[in-house]
Amino acid sequence: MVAYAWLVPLLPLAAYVFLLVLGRRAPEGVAAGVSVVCSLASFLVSAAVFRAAASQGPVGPYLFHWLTLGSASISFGFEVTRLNALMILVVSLVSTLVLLYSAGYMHGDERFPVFYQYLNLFVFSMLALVLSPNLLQLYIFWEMVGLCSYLLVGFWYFKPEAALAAKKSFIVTRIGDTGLLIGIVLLYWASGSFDYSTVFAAAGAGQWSLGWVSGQELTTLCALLVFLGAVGKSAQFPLHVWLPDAMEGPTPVSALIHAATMVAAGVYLVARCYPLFQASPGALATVAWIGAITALLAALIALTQRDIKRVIAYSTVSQLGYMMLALGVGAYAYGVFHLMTHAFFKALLFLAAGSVIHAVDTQDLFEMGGLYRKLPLTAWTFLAGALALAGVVPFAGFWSKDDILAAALNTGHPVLWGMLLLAAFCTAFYIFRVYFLVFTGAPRQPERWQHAHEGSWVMTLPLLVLAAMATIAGFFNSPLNGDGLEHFLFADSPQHQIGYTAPENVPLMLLSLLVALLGIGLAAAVYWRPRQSQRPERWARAWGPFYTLSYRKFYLDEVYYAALVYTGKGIAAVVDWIDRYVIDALVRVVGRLVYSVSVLLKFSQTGQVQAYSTVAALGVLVLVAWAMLRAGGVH
Amino acid sequence: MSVSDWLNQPYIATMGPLLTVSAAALIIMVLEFTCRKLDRRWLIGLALAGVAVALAEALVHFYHDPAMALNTVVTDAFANVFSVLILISALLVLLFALDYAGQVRLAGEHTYLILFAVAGALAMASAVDLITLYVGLELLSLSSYVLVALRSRSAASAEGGVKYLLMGSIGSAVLLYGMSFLYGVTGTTSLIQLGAGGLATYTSYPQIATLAFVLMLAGMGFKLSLVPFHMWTPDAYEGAPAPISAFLATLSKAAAFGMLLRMLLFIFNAAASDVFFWAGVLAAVTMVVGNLIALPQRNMKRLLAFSSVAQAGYVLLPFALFQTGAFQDWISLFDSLSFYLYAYTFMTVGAFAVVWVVSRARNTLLDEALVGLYQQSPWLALALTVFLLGLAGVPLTGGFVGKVYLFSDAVHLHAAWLGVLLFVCSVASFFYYFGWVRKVFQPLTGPLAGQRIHVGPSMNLLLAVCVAGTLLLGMVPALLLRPLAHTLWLS
Repeated sequence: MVAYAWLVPLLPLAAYVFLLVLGRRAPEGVAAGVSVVCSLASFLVSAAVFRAAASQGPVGPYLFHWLTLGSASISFGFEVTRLNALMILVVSLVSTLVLLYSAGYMHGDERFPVFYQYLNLFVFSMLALVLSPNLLQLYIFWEMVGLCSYLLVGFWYFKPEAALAAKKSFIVTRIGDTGLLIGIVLLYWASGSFDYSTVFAAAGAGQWSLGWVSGQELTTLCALLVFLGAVGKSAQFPLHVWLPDAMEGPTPVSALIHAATMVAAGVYLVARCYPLFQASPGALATVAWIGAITALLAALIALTQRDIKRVIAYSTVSQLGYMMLALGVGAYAYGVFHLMTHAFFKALLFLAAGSVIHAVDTQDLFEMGGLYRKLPLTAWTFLAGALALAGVVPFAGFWSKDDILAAALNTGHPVLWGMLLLAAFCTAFYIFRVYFLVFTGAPRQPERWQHAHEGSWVMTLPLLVLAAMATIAGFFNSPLNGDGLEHFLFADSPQHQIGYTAPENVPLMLLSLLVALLGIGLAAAVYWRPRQSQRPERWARAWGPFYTLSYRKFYLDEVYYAALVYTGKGIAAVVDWIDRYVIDALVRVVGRLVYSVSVLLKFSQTGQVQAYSTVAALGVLVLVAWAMLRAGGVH
Repeated sequence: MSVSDWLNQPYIATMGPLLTVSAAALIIMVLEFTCRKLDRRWLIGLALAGVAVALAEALVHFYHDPAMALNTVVTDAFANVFSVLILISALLVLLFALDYAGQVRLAGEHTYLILFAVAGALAMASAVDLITLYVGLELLSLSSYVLVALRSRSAASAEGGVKYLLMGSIGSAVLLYGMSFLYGVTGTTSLIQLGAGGLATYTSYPQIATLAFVLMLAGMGFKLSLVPFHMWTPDAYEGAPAPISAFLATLSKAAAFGMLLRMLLFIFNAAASDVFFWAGVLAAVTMVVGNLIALPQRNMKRLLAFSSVAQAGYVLLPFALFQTGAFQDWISLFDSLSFYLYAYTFMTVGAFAVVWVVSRARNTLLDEALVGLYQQSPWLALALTVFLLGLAGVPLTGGFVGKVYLFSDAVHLHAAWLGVLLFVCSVASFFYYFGWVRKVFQPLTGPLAGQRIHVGPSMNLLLAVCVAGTLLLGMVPALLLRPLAHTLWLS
């Protein structure tokens, strides 16, 4: 079965090509139907591949020769490991649900078939990314998912914010991509190959160097450059600023690309390159610290945002920070586990938020309220997602987040653990702030409330499936099934030991549960049944500067703008001057010169065959004379 | 030789395609003479079938062990790689002619003349005797002279034909003169014997060997339109019927390159480090002058003619690299050279085809006809863009991969100056190739804007094959590199 894994990305590609051929006039039903069927088939194949991988272990890589450059031979193909078997399963499942959901959400949009084209192209690229057997192929698809993200964020390009956000997301991730590319090239120079296994074997042995940098430093440098790529893609501090802006895209896009799959690609990259990171303690520590800072910072910003999608977006940034931290402290399996549970509950939260936005046509939390009566199904499913995110037993997020916290403490990182615990408290608070503001209380804008209604089955069915997953997905790696996922993932490594696993720690579990409940309680006290003294506005005033600091996102956008854009403009002005008055002038002179010579040559083409033969004869003569002179003359 | 020796020669493996093409040519000649009322396109269809069968035979014997028949004709890597290329370009040219004959009255002789030319070309690819090679060359050349002059009521066509005839004859004379020196010194015309005694010839008569080399190179230079023997090229290409222009630029050049490669390498391999310097000189001059003179051209067919002059300079580049003298490096040179020729064939036939369709629709050969092509036919516009990008050497096309191999060979084999020259010339060529691309996407106003250009089915097929060939060789070069790597060049 594993040998057929290439079908998994190919089915969405087929759907893409089919829709491309149909063009913009394809009926909505056909566009959505074909996409969902292909994606569902892809999910079924993934499930079979997953089962086969579980029983057989890693297979492949299956390689085809692509091109030869000098002595280097570059191949393309695919591989199936336990890690990417899990990834394709999650990606194809969430993709199927989002493609189905979009049929309702995007209904009536003028460019409906184009939207489905882009989504299918994205699903193909994402699946191909995780199945790539070497770094070069990974990089190609890494750029392709970036391109799809750009196209989809800017899908409503006539809105200036959407066009700006698309540009911003592309440019900011580009910074990370450049690092990744340099890292890949360095790894290639040092090890002579793009293949994971060869590169990691060289890194593990440490017997490599590049002349100007020694073995251990080279490992750290490469690991950090690869991590820079992950920082860009997974919106980690300090490159996290693009993700909240990317919420200008249609909500299904946010759910699929900016919550469940593409942003997790950075985490996948670090996980796939884990042997490289393990060879460099410095790089691992960097990953852990960046992850913790991101988790806390984003959680603090999410406390005060007014836009429902932005809150969830910052929450995504924060949760990705948890995953990075898990990888950084060595808890490989927990990072991957959290990636999986997060994909389900975060996609759910986005789709539920989309359902709310679809119903009331606004994204401002303070224009909603009391929607439980109008959208009961959305409210219940959102609640499941919120409980999972907050980490309440027995929902999915509880198990994975608790594992990460325990691992951070047990590996001797109490400071990081403290930061995460604080972030967990904020998480519970902000997500229930959203829940209470949207679904409980009195409607703040009755006219919007009047028209609100649930979407059709295509929108509610994905919510129900994801709510079920958000509820039960945690049991894949709970003590109740003997930590199944850990064993599944660790079977990959030759020593049955990549990374660290923490034993169950009941007091810690209780502590994190308590923190989550405290956060929920506080949110309820402020936003659900507020007493007069605790109204949200009073809170905001009481916390004054801190509130503003959080609401303005720690002024990072402004700082970046000042630092990067003004410096950039300064450099650009200098370069512009040189280009205009030095290089252009040179080019123009050379161009004129060449052109004059050409015109002269053109006049040599007289049209007279006598002239032609004279020139040719002279040519032969000169050639022969020169050759004879060089050969020493005829004796 | 005894009778049984005569019968037991590997005729099919060595001469199968040649015999098939000749038989098809003879049958079509008789049919064309007897069935005057028959639509000419049936004859072209028959010719296509004949060439297709020949191609199938060549492919079946592609990995055949080297064998020789009658001490004259062989099957080996040179013969197979070039025969397949010649037959593929013959298919493309005939497909082009099929569309052309549907719209323009063309003397019926052209079908079998093309086939006779193909037969000559196949002989040039597979013969190992100077006499046979020369006969093949003359068969190809004489057919081409007539083909160029075949547009009966066009003065330009007759003029182009005569110029080609005169210049081509000078070339043949120079070539024969060079060969005669070799025969005079060694007393044999067999390449195999010449090759075996190569070093002895060179050490005892270095000047005469060099003279023979230079004269043979120059003589073939007329056929390949290397500078300064190129001046007939634009006139002949402009006057010839469009499919014949494409034929001259691809099939005729492929055969001449195949013959030149075999002839020079077999005879002079032992003296390679000295004599092949002269190929480098011609390659450099051809690249520079070909590109420069193309810059101010406004006539589309003439521009393509000069472009093909410049491209011949690129293909000649590996010849200069044989100076390295290390046989193990030669294999990659053969690969680069044949890869570039394959890619060049698809791009060039395609470009000539689009130019023909457009110039016919707009009734002018000036490049102004390209303005607004994107509005009139997006498919033609995209196809032409692919061909032009390929000829310019932009990534994702076969032209790019081909140039990368040529460049890396030049740098690798310590002739970096030729690599740099190749690069600089390619950049200069962007000027005229991209000038066309810009025109194609320029908006057109006025009464012509709404007009669509109709493209017939055989032309569509031709363009699709050429686009696919250009892009596939650019994206999956292994398609061609793998078979090349599995052929035994030196055995």
